[in-house]
Amino acid sequence: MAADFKTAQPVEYYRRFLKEDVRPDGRELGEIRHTTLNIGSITTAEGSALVKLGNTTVICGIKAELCNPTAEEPKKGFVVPNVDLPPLCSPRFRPGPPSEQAQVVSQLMADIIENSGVVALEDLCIVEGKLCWVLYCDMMCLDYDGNVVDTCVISLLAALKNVLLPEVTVNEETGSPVTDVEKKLPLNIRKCPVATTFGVFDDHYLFTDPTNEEECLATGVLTVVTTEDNKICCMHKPGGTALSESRLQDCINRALTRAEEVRKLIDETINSVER
Amino acid sequence: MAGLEIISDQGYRIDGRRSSELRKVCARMGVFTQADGSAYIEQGNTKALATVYGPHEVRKGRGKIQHDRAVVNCQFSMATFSTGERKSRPKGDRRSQEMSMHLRQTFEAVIVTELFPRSQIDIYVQILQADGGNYCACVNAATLAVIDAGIPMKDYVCACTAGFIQDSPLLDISYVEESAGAPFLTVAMMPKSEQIVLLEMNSRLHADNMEKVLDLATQGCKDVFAVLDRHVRDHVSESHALMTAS
Amino acid sequence: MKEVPMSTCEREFILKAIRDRKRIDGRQTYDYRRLKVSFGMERGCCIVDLGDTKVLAQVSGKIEEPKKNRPTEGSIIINLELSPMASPAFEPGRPTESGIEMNRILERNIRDSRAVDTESLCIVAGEKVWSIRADVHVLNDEGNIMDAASIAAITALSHFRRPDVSVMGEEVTVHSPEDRDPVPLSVHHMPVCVTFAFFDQGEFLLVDPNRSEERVMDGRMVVGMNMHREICTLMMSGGMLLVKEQVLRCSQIATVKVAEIIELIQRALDKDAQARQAGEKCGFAESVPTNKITTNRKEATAIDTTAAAQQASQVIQEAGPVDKPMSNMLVQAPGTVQIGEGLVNTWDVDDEDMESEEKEGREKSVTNGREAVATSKPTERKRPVKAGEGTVSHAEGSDSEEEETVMLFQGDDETKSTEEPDSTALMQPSNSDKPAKKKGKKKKAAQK
Repeated sequence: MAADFKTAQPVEYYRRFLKEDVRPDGRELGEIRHTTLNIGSITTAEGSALVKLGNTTVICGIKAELCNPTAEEPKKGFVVPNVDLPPLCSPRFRPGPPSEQAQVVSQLMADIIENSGVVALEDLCIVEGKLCWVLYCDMMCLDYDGNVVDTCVISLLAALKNVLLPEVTVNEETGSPVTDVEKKLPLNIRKCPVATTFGVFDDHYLFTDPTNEEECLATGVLTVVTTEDNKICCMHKPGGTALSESRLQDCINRALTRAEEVRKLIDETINSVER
Repeated sequence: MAGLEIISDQGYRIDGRRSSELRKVCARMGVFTQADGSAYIEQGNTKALATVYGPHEVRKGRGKIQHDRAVVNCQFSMATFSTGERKSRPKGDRRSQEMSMHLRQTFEAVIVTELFPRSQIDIYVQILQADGGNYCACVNAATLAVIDAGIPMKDYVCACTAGFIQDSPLLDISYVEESAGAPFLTVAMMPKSEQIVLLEMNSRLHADNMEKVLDLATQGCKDVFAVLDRHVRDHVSESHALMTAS
Repeated sequence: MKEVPMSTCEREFILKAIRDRKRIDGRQTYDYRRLKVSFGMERGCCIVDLGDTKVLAQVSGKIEEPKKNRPTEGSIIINLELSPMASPAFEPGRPTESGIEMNRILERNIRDSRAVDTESLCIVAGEKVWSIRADVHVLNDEGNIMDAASIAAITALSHFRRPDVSVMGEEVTVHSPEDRDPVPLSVHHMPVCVTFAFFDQGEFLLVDPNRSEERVMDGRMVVGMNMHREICTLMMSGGMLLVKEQVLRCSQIATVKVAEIIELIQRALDKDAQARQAGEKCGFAESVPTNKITTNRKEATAIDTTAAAQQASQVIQEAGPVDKPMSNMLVQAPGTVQIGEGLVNTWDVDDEDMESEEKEGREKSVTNGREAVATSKPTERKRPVKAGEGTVSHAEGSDSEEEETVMLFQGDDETKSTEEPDSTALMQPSNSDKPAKKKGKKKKAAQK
């Protein structure tokens, strides 16, 4: 009976739950689903991480290549993020060129990386003006159950912390780079950005970490990205219902707490893998 | 490539296996919630994921509808970080299109499509890490995923590679052995009836050695079948136990 | 453009013939069609005719930078174009799935089996290497493009000569053909593909399927082999299920076929080499025979007709003696003779005769010609004709004949009645003749 009601009137069904301050899957409005993290499983990539937020699964692989820096910024390397939402993750994605959503999330990742300064691009430079690293961060969603942005950010951060770059020296005579595969150095991660996504329903209810169904029913979405020094590095609110300042402040506080938890999780995972 | 002994004097290969040993196979079914059927398989270091959607209504193009059977649509893609060098075109290049086509032909022959007229079955395969035997891992993963989705098939489809290096046939070629340039044969077959669904061979192999290699590959497929079958039965009995317990 | 679908009759016919071990064009199951290899003026240009399937291959070379991970090797690129010229089913632009598959098989056959030595294509390690490109265009598709394309590709590669290059320290000079003779590519072996078509789930197999056989087949297998009995590529797909024995049998058949084909290629190459050396003109214009219309010319194919001849003679024997001809000639008028029996003719041959005959035949019952009368007299036909006009023309009365004439018959001999309308249906076509006839009769009656 409940299932019939849910199919016939999903909004009303959802409203009934929210009135009682719970959600259909049993969570409270501020609770976030189980987060599982696994790093270093893809050995062909320089760094990799697999994150499961509830059912949403994202795998991030980082490949490093050498290239020449641009003439305008001779001291900076590149970090190139790319988010792929393939048709295998959900029936809503069709095969073909990247969907609008994939492109938006990719751009959001690029903004987060730049604004937060997670990796200083100067660290990626080997020889000024001649040689630098370019890190290709490819995030692929394997199972789409809402809130892919948070998951991507966590996977990106964990993968970056997992990256081991071989040491590169430039041969004096030939001028060509020599990679020393034996010696590997981790990246210098300056900041740790963590994202938290909120959904707005009926201009009234605010809940964190929406699932796929909730995303479809929500009237607005908000993503807050914070770093460890309690600074906001990015906020993303693509339209939807308006929020008052007090609600916004609630969101930010929740995001800060969540960010702490996630950072602890990442550090714990890294420590558990003896390097 | 000199200096790499594919087989050492004692008969061990680079990864410590003997010539007719398969790599370790780990499989998981029902890993994703969105898909109707999904499976993850690891053969040595090759990791492949498969998801199945369907049977559902034919989405694109009315022209594809078949009045008496289902249309099978396969897509093969390799993650950009799956190979040693970054792959700039994960799908759309010739090799991926060829693989997608072979997968489709393989599964069209095996799935009982006559039961689902006017509908479409989608099979998406993703390689997360490639270490030789990509096609085989795909086929095995897709078989498990189709079983997980509950779509009836005539039989399992198991695939395995066999190569011929230094006068001896080897089973289940890894990437290093592949790039040494030796000939290898990929066979996909239905293990119970021993019927070959797809056969592909690269590089040069003398006709006299063909039979040996083919036999070894057949044996390998049967071994893979044993592992997959046991896994499916375990998975089903677990699910059954969970359902009856609650 | 979509292909014209094959009718079920044709499909069934071809399948049935195959089950009887016969092929539509008279070949045996393991026979190839007529294979002709000819070369163009330029080095590296080759046309292959396999029956009516025509494929052109052209090889060209360019100096480029090598790949990063293979600094001492050149590259071979093989590109197969299914041009719309070949068949209405091919569209320009994106290659179809089958096109991609064939391209991959060609690549694997020649490139992955190291038929051409790539190390010898290196000029300066890490900087300059030759990149050889073979473009194969299908000009006409009459089945089995794969084999023709593989023959064309490897023959063109063997025929091709690249300019000679000399390296002096840092300097690289490419010599023009006048300076130094161009150098051939180092071809280790010649891999040729043999296509097998399977029918009835692998029970029957044919070599070199033509267009109609390809459309009816269940699946196919391509075996690429060279002279030394090494299998260079093997591809079986198409949703068909095979057993190991079939695969091995095919490879054995392929061995024989490949030997024949390579011999032919060698002969063609030698002939061309001789012709060039002797300074004769060579090229496509020469290889096409002159003074003949080349389109719509069918090649003569030997067909074994002994079985058919035997059957034919048997049938003739069983048929029995031939009937003697009946002679029942009737001379109607000088210059007009008639034989035969049956329907009365509607030509107004001779009214006098007709009249008299009518009178005579009045008593007789003449039906619609169903009864065979010894002398066929076109007598009572006129009556139905008139009646067909409409009502019974008793009222008209103008025609004396009508009063004389008596019967219209329904097909029963006995009944003689003056009912006319019913049998009007008999002689529709002569309606238009009625007025003329009437008048004619009147006149004649008047004359008499």
